[in-house]
Amino acid sequence: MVKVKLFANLREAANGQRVVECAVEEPVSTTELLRKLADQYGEKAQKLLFDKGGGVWQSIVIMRNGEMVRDREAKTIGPGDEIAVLLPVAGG
Amino acid sequence: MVELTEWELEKFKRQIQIPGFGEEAQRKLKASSALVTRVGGLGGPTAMWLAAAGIRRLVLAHGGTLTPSNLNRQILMRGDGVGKPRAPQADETLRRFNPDLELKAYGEDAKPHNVAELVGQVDLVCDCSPDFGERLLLNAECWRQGKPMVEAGMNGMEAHLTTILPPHTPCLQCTVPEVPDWWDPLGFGVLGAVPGTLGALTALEAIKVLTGFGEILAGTLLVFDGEDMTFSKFAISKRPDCPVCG
Ligand SMILES: [Zn+2]
Repeated sequence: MVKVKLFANLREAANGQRVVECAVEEPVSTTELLRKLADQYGEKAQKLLFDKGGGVWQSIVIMRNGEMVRDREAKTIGPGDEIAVLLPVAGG
Repeated sequence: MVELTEWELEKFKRQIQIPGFGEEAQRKLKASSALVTRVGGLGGPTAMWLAAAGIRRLVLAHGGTLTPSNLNRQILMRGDGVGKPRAPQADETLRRFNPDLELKAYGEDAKPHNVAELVGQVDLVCDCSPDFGERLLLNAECWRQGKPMVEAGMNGMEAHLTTILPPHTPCLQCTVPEVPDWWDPLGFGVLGAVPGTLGALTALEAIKVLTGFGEILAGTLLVFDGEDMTFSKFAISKRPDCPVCG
């Protein structure tokens, strides 16, 4: 299991939940984790996380235990990790 | 190094009293200038706290006229100022509060034709724009001129803050290399106290960058979640192929 803290519009897409749990038994990549989230929370989450070509939006920032994960394909996320999914914000 | 007058020593004595701040930081502030681009819910309080702290000169950039729905957060404006340009209202409020402040208020936003002039006349930029295009424009110009930029943004109950310090830290283009198609500048709610909190933090960060006091958020993203009242800090890294800073 990994704990995922959601921010901005993604929180809304996950029915207002701030922290959700995602079933992860062996290491997964950030793309795989976000795919699980999109499957869990449906079309709204899918649209926020993935572009039309099916890739993760480049401006979505994934933090693993407080550090930014740059490689989207490396299987860097394992059970017990704390993940934060940050969407770009520009409100002034 | 500029000297402090008797009036300034009296006016700022409570912050000069802070261990490590002292007269030295106050003198540095007296010799400093900052651009605050947009003085709405976020930039308004940013400008106000910089003015209160004793920065010598502020440059503001904010186009457009005041609307009723600006009044839940844009605290430099006037209740009877709806329909009137915003920059002169911000100018008047800041001058009334701090008559010692040197102030120049541009009645337009940062744009390709004025960005070099806006950035070129200050020591530091506080990016408080509600628009990614304007933010990325300021980011590239600050990088070109080697000026620090305090990058502040909010969304709903959430606020982000980091300091971009060319050539050492990641730049804004590193974290926002593209703007997602779902992004909508008016697509989220704002409770004035959230950009107000972020504005105070933005001014605090700018004061620290300008004076060298304390630790700054260079390469660190601070995220404030107003819903559960948590502050989190995250390490951010450069994008190896970034067209601005790479
Ligand atoms: Zn960059």
